[in-house]
Amino acid sequence: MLGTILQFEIKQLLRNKGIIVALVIYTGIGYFALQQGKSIYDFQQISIQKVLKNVKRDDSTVRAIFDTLNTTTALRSDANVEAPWSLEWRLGAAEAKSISPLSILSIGQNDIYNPVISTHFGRQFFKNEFAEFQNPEKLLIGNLDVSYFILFLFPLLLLALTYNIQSADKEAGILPLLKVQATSIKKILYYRLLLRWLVALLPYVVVSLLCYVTIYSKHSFLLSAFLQWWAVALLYALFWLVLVAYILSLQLSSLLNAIVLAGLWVVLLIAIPGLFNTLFSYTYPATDKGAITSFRDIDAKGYNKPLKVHLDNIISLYPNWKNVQLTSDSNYIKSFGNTLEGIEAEKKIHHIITTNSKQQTAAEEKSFWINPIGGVMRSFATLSNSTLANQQAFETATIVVRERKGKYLHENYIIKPHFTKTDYEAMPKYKEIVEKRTVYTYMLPLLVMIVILVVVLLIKNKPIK
Amino acid sequence: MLSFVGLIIQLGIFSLFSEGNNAIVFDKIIFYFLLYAVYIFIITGLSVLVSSWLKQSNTSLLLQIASWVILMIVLPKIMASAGAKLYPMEHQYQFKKALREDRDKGINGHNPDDERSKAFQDSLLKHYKVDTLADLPVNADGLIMQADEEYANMVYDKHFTRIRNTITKQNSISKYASLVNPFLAIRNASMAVSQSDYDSQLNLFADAELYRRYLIKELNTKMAYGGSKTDDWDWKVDDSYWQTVKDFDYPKASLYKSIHHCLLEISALAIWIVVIILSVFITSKKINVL
Repeated sequence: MLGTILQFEIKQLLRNKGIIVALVIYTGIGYFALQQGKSIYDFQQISIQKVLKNVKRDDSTVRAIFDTLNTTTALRSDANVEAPWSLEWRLGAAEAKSISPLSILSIGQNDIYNPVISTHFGRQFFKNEFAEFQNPEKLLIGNLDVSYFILFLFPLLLLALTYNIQSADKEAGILPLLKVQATSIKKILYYRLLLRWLVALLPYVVVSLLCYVTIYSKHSFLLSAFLQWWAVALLYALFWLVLVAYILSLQLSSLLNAIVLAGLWVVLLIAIPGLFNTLFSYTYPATDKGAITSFRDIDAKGYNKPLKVHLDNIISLYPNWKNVQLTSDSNYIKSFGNTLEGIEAEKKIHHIITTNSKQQTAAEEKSFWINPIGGVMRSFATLSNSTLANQQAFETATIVVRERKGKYLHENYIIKPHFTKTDYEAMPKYKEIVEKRTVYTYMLPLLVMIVILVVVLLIKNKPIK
Repeated sequence: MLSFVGLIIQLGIFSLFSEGNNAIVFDKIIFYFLLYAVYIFIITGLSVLVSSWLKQSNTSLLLQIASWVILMIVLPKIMASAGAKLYPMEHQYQFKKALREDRDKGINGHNPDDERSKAFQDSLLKHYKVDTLADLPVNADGLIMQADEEYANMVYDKHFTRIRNTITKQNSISKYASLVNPFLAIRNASMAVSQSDYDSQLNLFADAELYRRYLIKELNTKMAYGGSKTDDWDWKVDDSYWQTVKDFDYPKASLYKSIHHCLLEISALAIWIVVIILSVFITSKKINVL
């Protein structure tokens, strides 16, 4: 029986040229979305490769200088590679964020974040010297990526294909004919719904294959993460199937079905997320830029402070140095004091920003029980490492290495007579902070909703009129 | 009509609560109202036309919903992405390299040992017919810094104009698309009237940059001709000098200045009105009510 229904439905669908055109257009949009993600990923990779290439080249140059450096008798000078500022200037230190190839599918906020940050101890973090130019209009509109295609466009196709599968028979007057068939009318309708859902999934399948072909060869591609990403997408598609089945079970007219389903699409995808977004932007306002502006004065005015102020600051951190004869001149005492003060101030501001975002993220996670689509969006971004938390983890890691390097280089400069190649090799290195988050908690509200809808559908065994 | 009432209430409330520098001027309120009235007319007209062309109400509804999604959500994103694809943005490292190369060809105003600075100093000595910088009746440092500033301005103008042109070209795609998408037309026109669009921001940047250049030139000129001598970096002006320096002023743009760069979008809305009126007229002749 199922085979007969499916054969009949497939024939019906193939006769409808409109559906075939729609499927082709949808697949085209999906491919366009994939290309959009790829172009942003490629753009960032080019920037990263360029910076890393320069960093590698500078490292080789510095190593070569150390190889020929005479540290036996000569006293070092400020222009020497041994001096902290001189060394860092030669190194052009910078670190790149490891960008997941899955960000091609879900750009998230990756397009506006800097994938490269300077790790020079004296460079201000908030100067964003590696920031790319952005078109404000494009930022306003946002990107059309694969996650957007799935979240926003797939439900529309499903709604268009299914809104009248039950009511159309009634409105065409053929329902009595179907009722006298051997199989239950409900079964026929559910099979029909399932088939239409599978048809709506066709662009999904084609795009997922194209995605695999596009990204499988990319550096750090993980098949498990890719499959998880598409499992989330499939669960989301399942949610819409169950939701449509529930609305159809209400046995409304085609017009009302269309209005209710389109209304649900607007409410679930635009109204609720938009309202929460507005609420959170009021509850957790962005950090005042005045703090960053004031912080910039620390750097500018640091050298104007008396030497004693810097020295007291250093001694408070290094009490053992109180009675030690410091080998460095006053400029480097000031430089160290200034570096410590600057990085401390940066850390404080960055901590305020990250704490604010963490609080907002926690509140958003709670809101997923009212806004389950938000959970799907977050899951996509989490699996693609394109969340704000990922970026902030990267920023924190760069601040940590800058502080450690600043201290290490100045400690060596102030205490030791020479800074050797061994000291250079022991210089603190950048360590990635991995932001590990599981998507299960984000997907739980959606799963619960699916279960509730299925249970309601099973309990509510209303005969079709 | 309901939409118009809502629009009037919204604008009324806004004009009541805006005051001082934020007060919106009457001609802009009226224009804003007219723009949205036109937009609502177009949307209503399109809706009526689709309903009259299609026999089934549910097909009509479905088509209208699909059109809304395509025009409001999908098309603007596709246009923005197409713009970025057709006119790719330059990488910051390419920009910095090009800028540095050009910058290095000029005078370094803060390095008197720079070759070009030396040549400039020599020309000053020749001009004032003296042998040393100390004999100059002016402060050469002020003049060198101004020469550096003017060269830098030329270089920055050249390179930032390239970036701005790329952004303008990227945005031109959605600008032309407004001819077929009234949502893009109203969005761009409305942003222009409210001065929240990219061009208005560029105007602010341009005015701020002009002021910065004026201020730097004033300071350098004062340093050069105000009575100080070359290499006297501790020389200071008195308080009264600052009274002569103008403050930055960013006047409100007139309605014409705000909208002159979105005439295409406004024309698109006008074309849409004509097309809708004509279509309604033709369709009404063909429709049989009974």
